[in-house]
Amino acid sequence: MWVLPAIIALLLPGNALAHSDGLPVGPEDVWHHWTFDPWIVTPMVLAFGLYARGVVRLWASAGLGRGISMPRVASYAAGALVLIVALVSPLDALGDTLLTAHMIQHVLLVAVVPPLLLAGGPGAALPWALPQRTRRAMGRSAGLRLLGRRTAFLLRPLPAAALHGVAMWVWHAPALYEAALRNEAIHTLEHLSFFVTAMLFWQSLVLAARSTATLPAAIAAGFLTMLHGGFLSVLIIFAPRPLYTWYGDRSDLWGLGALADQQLAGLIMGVPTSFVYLFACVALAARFLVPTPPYRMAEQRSPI
Amino acid sequence: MSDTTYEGGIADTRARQQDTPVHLPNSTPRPEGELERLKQVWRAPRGFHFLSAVNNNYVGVWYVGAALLFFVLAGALALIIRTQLAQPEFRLIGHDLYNQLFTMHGTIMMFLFAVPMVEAMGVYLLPNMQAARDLPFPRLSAYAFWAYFIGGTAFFTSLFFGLAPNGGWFMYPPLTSYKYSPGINADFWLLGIGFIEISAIAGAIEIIVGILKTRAPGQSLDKLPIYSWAMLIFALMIVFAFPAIITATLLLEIERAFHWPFFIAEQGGDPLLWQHLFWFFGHPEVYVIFLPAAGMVSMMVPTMAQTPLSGYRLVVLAIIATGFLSFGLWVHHMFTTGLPTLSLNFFSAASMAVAIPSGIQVFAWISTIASGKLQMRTPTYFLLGFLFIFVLGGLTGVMVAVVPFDWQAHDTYFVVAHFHYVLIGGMVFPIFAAFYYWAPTASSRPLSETLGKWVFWLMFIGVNVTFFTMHITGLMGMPRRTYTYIAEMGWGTLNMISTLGSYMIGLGVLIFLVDLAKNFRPFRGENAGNVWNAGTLEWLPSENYQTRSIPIITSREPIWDQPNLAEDVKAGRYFLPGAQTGGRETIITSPIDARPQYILQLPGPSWPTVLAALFTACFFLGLTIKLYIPALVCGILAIAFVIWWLWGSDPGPAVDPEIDVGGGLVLPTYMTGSMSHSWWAMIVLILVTGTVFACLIFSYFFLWTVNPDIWPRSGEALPWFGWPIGAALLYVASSALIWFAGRRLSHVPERSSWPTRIALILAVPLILGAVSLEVLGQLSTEVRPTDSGYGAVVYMLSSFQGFFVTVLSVMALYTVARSLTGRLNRVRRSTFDNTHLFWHYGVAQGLVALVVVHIFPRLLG
Repeated sequence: MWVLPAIIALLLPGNALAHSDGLPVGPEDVWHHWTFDPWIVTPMVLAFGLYARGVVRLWASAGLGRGISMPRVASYAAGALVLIVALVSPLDALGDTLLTAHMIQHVLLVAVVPPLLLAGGPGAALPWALPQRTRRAMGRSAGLRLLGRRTAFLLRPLPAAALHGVAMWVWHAPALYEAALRNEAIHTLEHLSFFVTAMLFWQSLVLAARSTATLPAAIAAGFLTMLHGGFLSVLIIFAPRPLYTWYGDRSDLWGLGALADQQLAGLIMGVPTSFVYLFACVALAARFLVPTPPYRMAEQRSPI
Repeated sequence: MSDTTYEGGIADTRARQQDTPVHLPNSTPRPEGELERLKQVWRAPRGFHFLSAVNNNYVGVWYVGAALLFFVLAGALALIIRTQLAQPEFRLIGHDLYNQLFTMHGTIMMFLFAVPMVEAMGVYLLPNMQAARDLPFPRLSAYAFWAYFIGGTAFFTSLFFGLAPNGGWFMYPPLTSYKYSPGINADFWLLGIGFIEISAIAGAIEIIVGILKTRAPGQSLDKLPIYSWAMLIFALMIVFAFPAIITATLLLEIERAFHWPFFIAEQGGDPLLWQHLFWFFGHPEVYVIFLPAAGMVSMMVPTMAQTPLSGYRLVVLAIIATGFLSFGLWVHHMFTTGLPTLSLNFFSAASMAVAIPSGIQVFAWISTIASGKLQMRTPTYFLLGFLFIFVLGGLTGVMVAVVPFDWQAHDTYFVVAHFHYVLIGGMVFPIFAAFYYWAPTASSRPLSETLGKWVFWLMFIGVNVTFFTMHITGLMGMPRRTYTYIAEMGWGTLNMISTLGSYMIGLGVLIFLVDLAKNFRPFRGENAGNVWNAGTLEWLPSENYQTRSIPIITSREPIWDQPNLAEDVKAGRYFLPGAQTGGRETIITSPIDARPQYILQLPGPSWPTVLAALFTACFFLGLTIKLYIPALVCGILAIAFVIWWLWGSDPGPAVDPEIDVGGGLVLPTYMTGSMSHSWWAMIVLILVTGTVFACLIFSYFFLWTVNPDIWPRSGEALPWFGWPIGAALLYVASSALIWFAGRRLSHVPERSSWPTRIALILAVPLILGAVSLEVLGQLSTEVRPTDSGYGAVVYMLSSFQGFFVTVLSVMALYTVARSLTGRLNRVRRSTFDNTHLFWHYGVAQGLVALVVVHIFPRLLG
């Protein structure tokens, strides 16, 4: 899918277009700093286009709002919009000046965009977007099927949450975080690993929600993510000094001390995000309470 | 029996399946001698051996009794405190004893009364409510009870030697570290409470597995009693919250004993680390106490109003949401520790959010009361009293969640008033309601309605007189934890009123004890029956084996909705009407839809369990009073008795590997893998240890953010990279051997079981070697644990892993011993499965520690 071009982008030396010149962005010129990195915009537009084409063709064949409902499409659109806010709007450029802005961007990438996009049912839209021949070829491809089987465990809640958790913690080590700020390719890799692992994580919850048997693992994954994310954010909030010296006194431009900027960043990471995971977990738990048919012995002669 | 009948109700809030009559699996009359056999199998031991009883009807009642005892004791301490404060400059007790008294009052009420009490009620009630014969690990609950009771009693007696802790119930360092608290008073707290928390965790594991795996067939999660839901969330919260306090007490005790400076600011520690760990436990603790009580209320209100609970689903979701939320809010106990100002708004707002799920429950109760016909009996009085007091406590809670107000009221009697309203309202009143409500299930006579109303009015008026007044005393500026005050402050009258009120509460509790003495008659093999016309399973006719047969459930209030249920259950027309395996047994069901999976053979009375608890308590007591040799002996004895007790707990399949429980449903008598109850318990244990480990990792990073300068910047202060790589390789190799052992075990007995044994034995030196390499690597540098916060936390991680690996080694050797005695094979492999799960987890944990300790400092740039 579109992930591939992004990976290729990383492999090409010197190709990474700085989303800004890395210089501080103040309140007066913030609206002039839009980021149009073709390596990010192209796959984004491609993905949105495929989804739109899929939905249009599906609706043309099944009827308006059939197959993928209107609210789902609205959710996808909202996700797409937020993704644009995160990666194209001045928020991206501001991330070099304010840790808070950078953190908001990350929170959008891991906790807001993925659930919105996935609620839009992109998996259902994609087959309709592709030419029939491609679809058939993909269906027949033994290689794809093998790849699917080999990577299936990554779509189980606990492995996905573990992977996502590792990405979240590793990138906050000062050396890596600052390396991403210095080098645009590393920066893209950082965002990519946040976003891809978050998509895996949220997709694993979506899949797990289909059966009550997989719900406990999904709820555990959501809770553990909330918990360790909380630990990480507390470390950032309570640090008595700036952890990422790269920012220096850039936040002064916005009337915010470096430490206050860091605390705000930690709080945004900790508090609102926790509520996202909380809602997700409660929504998953609600599925336990759907009335089930009464137990019938006749259906069960043997325990397994 | 009550003559009221159940009429209608809110149909949409419940699953009613009256139109689908249950097919009864067994026919009557039952064979001769079946009931006698069942009775005989479940008979409690007689005479002195009575103490070795393990089943929940005994242990649960003892457990409740012990918690009640500590409630009375801590209440007596409160009365001494109140007497001392009744007049200005009163000289009943000095300041040191006063400090010990308030520390002990708070500590006992929280750790020896509130948590054990709700856990005890769970041990007693849950199998009754889910029609299981017992909890899945009866000996574990017996162990938890005895450890708690013996340890708690020893802890309390420290007061008589002037050795009781005196640093406040939250024991903040640096006051409680070796410099300012050189006596062993603080050690009593740290070891005593740390130990009792371990018993609480043991109970929580039991409760989680019990709720998920031992239910009446058909009692799917959407039909689970609210109380079971509340206890499930309660126990899960213990699993995640209590490890934090265990970590904190461990660190502080090590700081006191070996001078590893975790909390000493001059040496790169930080006293705030204690506060974070303490409140990461302490905030959920509030809900740990409240949720079970709320769960009880949700059971009692529908019965007293004779109508199903309004909004069952919303209430369950509110309980779940409360559980989640409580882990995000610990910081609001630290508003005055100099937190970043910016953060206060966020945490203040988040604190308010918990009002939503609490509000949902309160409105559900009110709506249930409004939609039914409330019977004004004693439990109802306590329930209404609970609503009144708890809502008032909630209101002052909103006040102290407002940061500027909290700055003013902090550490004054306003806060004392607030949390007594919350805790007495939120926990004590529901518990008293529960005593009156559920006593008829345990006792051959219900408690007295007349005395009960006296108890209620004395307590209700007493609580309000005592604590409402304290709001005003606090606003007038009287600080907490001062043993006296001068008359000019003008606090004398208010204090006198509070003291009089507290005597009223004391009198109320005294009358309750009289009522118990007069009417409470447990262990008689009979009970007073369904006196309130309740709808849930604990009101089925029962004896020590619980219900004669295990019913199929199609509704949330089966007694109301399934006609003739009690009669059919008692006649043995449902599942498992006798002791089919020849011993104690119960049906294990699937965790979500409660379909029968297998028969669990339950263990019976056991002395080793009691002795293991006794020696564990002696071990901790010995450490506290610095008698190290006796402590060591007790420790070894405790381990020996635990192993003795465990030796019989993996019985393998019964004589008949499969048993017909009725209606042609044939269940195996032994199970391994993810369906088995022991697999679930092991997973929960892994969550517990994982949380301890996470707290240590948090401590590592927290100390780094505070004192980055003491972290090694480059290679020379860190061990050579070869050490951790060697350790990692040994870890992985040991895991591989365990994996290989598991593969080979699947082939036994076709092939020799020696490869399995050899692999298990070889894995032990490998994993011990891994930890040794890590420690040697650290020793090869200049860093020592007493040097700095860095040294302390790095060595602490290794020490924890060392402890872990020792446990794993014992488990591996135990598994080998099982194999050598022919108790381990392809089928009977639970022991191996547990070892194998824990082993891989331990290796993963060791690898994470290596990455943090050796790679993170190299990423500091």
